[in-house]
This record gives sequence, structure tokens and C-alpha cells, in this order.
Amino acid sequence: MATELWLHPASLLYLAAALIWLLPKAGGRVLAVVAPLGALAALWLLPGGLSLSFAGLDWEFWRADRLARLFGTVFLLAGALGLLYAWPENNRRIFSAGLAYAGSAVGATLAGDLATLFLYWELTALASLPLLIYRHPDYGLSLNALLRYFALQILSGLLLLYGIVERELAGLGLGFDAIGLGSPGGLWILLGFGIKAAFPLLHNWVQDAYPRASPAGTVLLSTFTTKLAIYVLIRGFAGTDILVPIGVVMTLFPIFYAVLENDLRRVLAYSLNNQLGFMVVGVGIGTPLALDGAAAHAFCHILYKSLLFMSMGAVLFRTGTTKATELGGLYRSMPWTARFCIVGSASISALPLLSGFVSKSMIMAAAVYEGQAWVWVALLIASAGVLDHSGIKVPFFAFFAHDSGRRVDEAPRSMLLAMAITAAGCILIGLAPGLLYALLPLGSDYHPYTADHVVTQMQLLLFAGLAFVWLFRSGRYPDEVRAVNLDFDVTYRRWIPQSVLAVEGGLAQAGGRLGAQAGRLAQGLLAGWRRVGSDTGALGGTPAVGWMTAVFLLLAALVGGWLV
Amino acid sequence: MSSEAPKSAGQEDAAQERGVRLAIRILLALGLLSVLAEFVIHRHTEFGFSALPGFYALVGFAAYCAIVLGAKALRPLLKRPEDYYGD
Repeated sequence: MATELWLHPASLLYLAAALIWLLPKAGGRVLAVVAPLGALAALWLLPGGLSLSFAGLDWEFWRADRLARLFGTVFLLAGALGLLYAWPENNRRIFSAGLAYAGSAVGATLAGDLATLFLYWELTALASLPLLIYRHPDYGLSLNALLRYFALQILSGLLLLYGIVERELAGLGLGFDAIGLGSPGGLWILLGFGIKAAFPLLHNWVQDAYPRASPAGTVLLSTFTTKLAIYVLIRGFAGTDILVPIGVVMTLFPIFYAVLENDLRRVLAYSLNNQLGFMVVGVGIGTPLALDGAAAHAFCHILYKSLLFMSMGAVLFRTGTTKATELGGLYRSMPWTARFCIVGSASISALPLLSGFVSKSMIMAAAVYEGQAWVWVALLIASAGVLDHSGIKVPFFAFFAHDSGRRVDEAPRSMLLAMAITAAGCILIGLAPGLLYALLPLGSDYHPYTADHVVTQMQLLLFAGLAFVWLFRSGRYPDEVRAVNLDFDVTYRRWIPQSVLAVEGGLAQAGGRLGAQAGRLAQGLLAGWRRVGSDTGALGGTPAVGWMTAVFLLLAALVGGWLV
Repeated sequence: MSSEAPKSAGQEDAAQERGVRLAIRILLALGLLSVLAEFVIHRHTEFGFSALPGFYALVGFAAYCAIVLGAKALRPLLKRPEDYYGD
């Protein structure tokens, strides 16, 4: 058992994350790439099954079933590639946090019970934070953005914890299998997962935080948190009907912002949101084909989205910006980055022979088999939108369009190598989808390359492409402009704080009387919480609930502190 | 570029424009081919309405225009200065 404890993929990566600070930098960056591959070997070669008892709970740390292994595999592969890509930044903080972040994500996928899941859920939030500390050439270093990101991640953990406690109190235990919306705690857990899956109105942390990180930071961020959320949705909420409309809104809503957005890495963050929508629809449909489709799409998506973020990260690294208004004509300077970007663009657009085609079509087919006509049409429309923002807009405005006159060096060699391997992965899965299908949890037998499927997909893409040509050449295509576009985060970044300030201004006159009363109210609430949280209180009785309440209170106090 | 004889900017633009026109013609030809191919292959139809020949071509073109022009129409409503949030 001690062996499993040390050879657990998460343990290996945590160990490596610590070693980064002791090794010389040259050795550290090699370790950063080798460690995820070592963890990958452990994931596949060892049977797993690590259970420990402490704090009055049974912790199941290593459930290595097919679903967990599939997500663990792509997390570790993408982790190794993202850390190879991080070499030119040569920053111990990125290497160490990247390894710890990958380890936490893999730990969460291997968690067999909800307490272990919660532990790693919070560790992914913590480990990802250092990746956001970056003096961005356009945005600078924003402490506010960092805290907004962290507060939402912690809120997600709180909701999860609240749901877990409800389940424990209802006598359902802490096992992590199908949860469902109707069961005790189900709603809170779904909301907790929904924040990290960037459900509509809970989504803005992605577009707010991710484009502010360093080139490699964004690549690593784009891989883990949101796809971990897809994994837990597959595990806990397969076939939950409400996920279908939620997913459909996710595929459509971000598209409009992606069309208007000027920062190409923020375009990709909106595009990430739209891709998550396809997966959420798959989870909601819930048939074996749909669930395998969601898992397969997550796998492919991690690779092509990494590739797209890598290419735009290389542009940021060389030019100091990813704003479409400042770019154009870079294919002259960065021909290989441009080529790899186009592979990523064609993959996400689901061009036949590339990875997106073989995974997205599983979800679309599942909608057809279930007779969900409006869902299918919505996904078809969203697919045309994907072609615009990720298929055409990102490569076109960075590398072609009007020449910005910028002449820079091609991306550093290790960045190019990471992009080349990732692009090769996208092509390999597209050419030989059987390799990916063999790993799918439910063993769906699906054949993407039928004549009618290829022909109809080509029709969709070619005519959407012709629509771009017509709109662009006739001057109807919207210009790139330097601006921000109001999204839902205007509520908590602008409207609510302004209202609070206005109310506070009014209250200031009412003076200390009211302030003192508010203080007493807060103290009373806190004391009440302590009472219900104690072993003899309303929520007490089991050790699980005891310590969970303690953590809950601590985190609630922290979140409260940041928000005030 | 550097190994070739220097060209004027106008010449380069003209050459580029010819290339773009060729690419558009190829795209058009492929598009037509993909619609014609429908009559050669055996096509499963997903739903009654999708049996229409060229259904995907129509959806691709119409959806793309609707999304791009729809976003363009929303811009005046959503657009704010770059420093709107101040962070």
C-alpha cells in the first residue's frame, strides 16, 4: 500500500512539483516533461485501488476504471506538452504549479469518493493560481482578476461541499457514482460542477482569467479545470435532462462574443466555452454513444484547444500582443506557428481527417438517434459558428488579413516541438479514430467515415467558408475594434459594486447605529453556524460532517473576506 | 522573398489578389461538388426536414451569415471602451 501511495500519479507529480525548486533550471524543465509521462506509466501499469482511513473517513484515492483512465491519460499527455511548451519561459513557478495542477486534476479523476474528490477539487483551484500571476504586456498584472478567479473556484468547492454534507446527512454515504439532480445534495453539487464547467452566467471567469496568463500558463489552464468538470458531470449526472438545454445555450451564446472579441486568446476562451457546450449536451442526452462522445470530444478538444492556445501564445511571446487589431501578416515571420494553428483550427472545425470530426459527430449522432431535432439543428448552427471564430478568425487575423508590418522571429524551438507533437496527435486521431475509440468508457462502436457524413460535413464547412468570403469581400464582416464587450460579468465587476457604493454612501449618513447592528447580526450568524456545525448540532453527528463544516466555515469566511 | 528580385508593393498586392481569387474559385468548385456528390451517394436522412438536397450547404451558409451579422448588430449594445473595467 505504501507503494501505491508513492506511485499514485498525483503523488508523483506533487513530488516533481517540489523537486523543481531544488534542481537546477535545466534539470527542472526536463523533469517537468518527464514526470507527467512517468505518471502516465503508473496510471496504466498499476492496478490502483488505494484506500486509506483517516479523519473518520474512508478515502478512495485510486479508482482506475476506463473513464478515469481516459481523462487521466489526456490530462497527463497535455500536461507534458504544455510543460514542454513552457520551456522558453524558463520559470520555476510555471513548471511547479503546472505539475501540481496536473497532479490535482488526475487525483480528482481517480477519486472514488466525494471527500477525495473535494480535496483534489480544491487543490486544482490552489495549484492553478500561480499560473495567473503574470505581467501581461496588454493587461499588466491584475490582483482583482486573480481574486475573482479564486473566489469563483472556491465558491464551486463550497457548493460541492454543501451537497456532499446533504448526501451524508441523508444517509447516502460519500460514494462518487451517479448522483442525479433529484437526489439529496444533487442540485448543489451540479451547481458546483457547473461553475467549473462554465455553465451560462457562471462562465465569465474563463474569459476573464485565462487570457491574462502567460503563453504556457493559458495552455495549462485551458486543459484541466473545465474538462475535469466534464468528467465529473459524466460520472455524476449522465442523462440529466436539464443539461441538454444548458449545453445548447453554451454552444450558441459564446459564439456572438467570439465574433466581436478583439483579443484572440479571449476569442479562444469563448470558443472553449462553446466546445464545453457540445460535451454538456452529450452528458445530458446520456445514451452510451452520447457519453462516449462527450468523453471523446473532451479528449480531442484538450489537444486542439491546447494547440490553438499554443499558437496564439507563441504570437504573444514574440509580438507582445494577441489583439487582432495589432496583428496580421505574421505568416511571413512565423510560418510554422501559422501551419500548426491551422491544424488546430481545422480540427476544432471538425474537418474530416482531423480529430474534432470523429468526436463531435458522436454527440450529433446521439441527438439524432434520440429524435432531438431542435438540439441537432442548434448544434449544426453552432458548428458553423465554430468555423467562424476558431476556424477562420483566429488564424486569419493573426497570420493573414492586412499585413501589420510586424517582423518577428519564429517561435522558439521547444514551443514549435510542442505544437508539432500536439498537431500530430490531432491528425493521428482524425486518421485512426479507432485508437481513441478503444479507450472510451462504454465501448461505443461508431463509424465516422461514411460517405454521407463526410459529404454533408464538407457541405456545411464549405458553404460556411463561402459565407465568410462573401461577407469579408463585400465589407459586411464586422471590423476588429479595440473594445471590451459587456458580458454577464458586468454585474459583479461593475453594476453590483457601484450599487453597493451608492447604498453605502447613503448609509454613511445613517451612521454608526446601523453599522453596529450589522456587526451584531454577523456575529450572531457566525455563532449560529458554529452551533449547527458542532458534533451535537443540527448538522453534526458524524465525523464527516464535523470536519466538513469546519472547512466550509473557513472557506466561507475566506470568500466573504475577498468579496467585501 | 529575399532571394527573389525585389517587387513593388503594387505588384505584390496584385499577385496576392490573383491567388485569393483562385482560392475562392477552388472553394466554390468544391462547394458545388459537395452538393452534387449528394446525388451520387446514399444519404441517410436524420429528420424529415433534413432530406432536402443541399440542406447542409444551406444551413452552413445561412447560419454563418446569421451569426456574424447578428453579432455585428449586437455590437453597439455591448461595446465599451477598452479600459471600461480598469483592470
